[in-house]
Amino acid sequence: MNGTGFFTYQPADSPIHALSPVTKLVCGAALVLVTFALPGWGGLLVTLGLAVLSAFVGGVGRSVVRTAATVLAPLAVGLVVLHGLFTPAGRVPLATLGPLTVWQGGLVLGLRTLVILATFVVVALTFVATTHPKRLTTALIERGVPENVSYVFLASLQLVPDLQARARRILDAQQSRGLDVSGGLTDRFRAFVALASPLLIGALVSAQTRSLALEARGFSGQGPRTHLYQVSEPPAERLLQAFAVVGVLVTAGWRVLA
Amino acid sequence: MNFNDFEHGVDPYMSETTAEGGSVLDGIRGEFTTQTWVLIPIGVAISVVAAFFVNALRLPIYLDALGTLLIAVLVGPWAAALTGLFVNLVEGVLVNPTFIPYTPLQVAFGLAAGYMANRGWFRTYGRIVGVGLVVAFLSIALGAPITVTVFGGVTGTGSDAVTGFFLATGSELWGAVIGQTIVVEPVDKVITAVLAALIAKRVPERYRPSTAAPVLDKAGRLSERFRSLRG
Repeated sequence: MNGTGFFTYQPADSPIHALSPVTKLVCGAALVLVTFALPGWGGLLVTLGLAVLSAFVGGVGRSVVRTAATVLAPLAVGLVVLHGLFTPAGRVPLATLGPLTVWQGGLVLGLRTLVILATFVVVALTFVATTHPKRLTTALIERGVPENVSYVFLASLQLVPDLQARARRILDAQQSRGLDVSGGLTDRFRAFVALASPLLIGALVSAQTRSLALEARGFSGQGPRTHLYQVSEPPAERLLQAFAVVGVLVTAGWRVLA
Repeated sequence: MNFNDFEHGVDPYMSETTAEGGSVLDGIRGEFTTQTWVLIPIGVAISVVAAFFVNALRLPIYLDALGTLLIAVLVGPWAAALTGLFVNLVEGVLVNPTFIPYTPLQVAFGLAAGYMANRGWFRTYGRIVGVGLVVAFLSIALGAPITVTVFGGVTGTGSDAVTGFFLATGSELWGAVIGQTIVVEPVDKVITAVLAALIAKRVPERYRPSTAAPVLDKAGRLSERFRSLRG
């Protein structure tokens, strides 16, 4: 976390940071897919454990776990309450509170889903915290993703904190002119238009300069490009990627046959 | 200096004419000028930052499709689809990874709204409500399967109370989630479509992208009811 309240890259010198972004993407996605396909509790706890371990090896464990907890808390409440009360799987009542019955099967199902989601959230946050966006897009371009598309991703990431700061200034400015932000619902929707239009117009104004600057640098030009950065991908990482893909295929095949 | 100057005399409703005249590929190519590549990140960022205004004003809706619909109106379906793709990926990276599985929804919103915008569906309030309902339908049809299979029927928002209500009154999980989205989505998406039109309408002519579709230029009788919203 930084001053803007967004979760972002945390520079550090760890083995996870050093991996190629593509390797992290492939292995992370494989781990999540395998988790979704696993039947029992043992396997689920192993994959969650692997995800948390990689966060701590990457030196971002504490912030990943803290953010994962805030992301998962509302889902946990929903899963435990909805499934615990309304999914009578196996029809084994755990407790009865007045008209409400807590079902054991539902509770187990809710907790299972929570562990799967926790694995996904921890993997995703670890990836974000240990991968600089610039390295990610460079690696993806090397793998054949068009430059324009990766420009959109990078530019969006950079524009969000920028527009967020602008949004704060617009809110202050409009309130100082008497904008009512606490009136009835219609007033507040009207206030939304009064806040969002200057935000869009301001962004469009700077977009003009930006597209001129890009055009001057040959953005729409054809032909081969050279790159400022290179992302190395040692053979060992290629092997790791292949291993992850095979792992997913084996798990999926085993689930289909079993 | 305005957009139209450096686009070298491109017809203002270019995407409309190419979509009807040329092939689909020509339409896509015509949509992706340098200006378009610059506008897409704006749509993405506005979708993410809209949540800041929604919280500040304590609005009871999500408005997460706002940026995608704005690009649908200002550029066209393919640019809006790309905006939709990155809205959930960027929100997933910066705010909350649980947005990522819902990525196909925003792509579909962009394609549908952009297609409709090019065909004049943002010209009157009545039609804009239609756009909102189409987007809501896509959200229900694509969102409910993701909510049930990936998230066990839970969203981690106030909507879960609605799902709980349907479960408590005897629905199965699938029925409860679809019931919840039928209650929540049309309201959210119709309001999003109307707000996107009102915001796009307020962009001064000189800053309006050359690809922009006509917005609220034939507002009919319904406009009286929405006049109070225009501010």
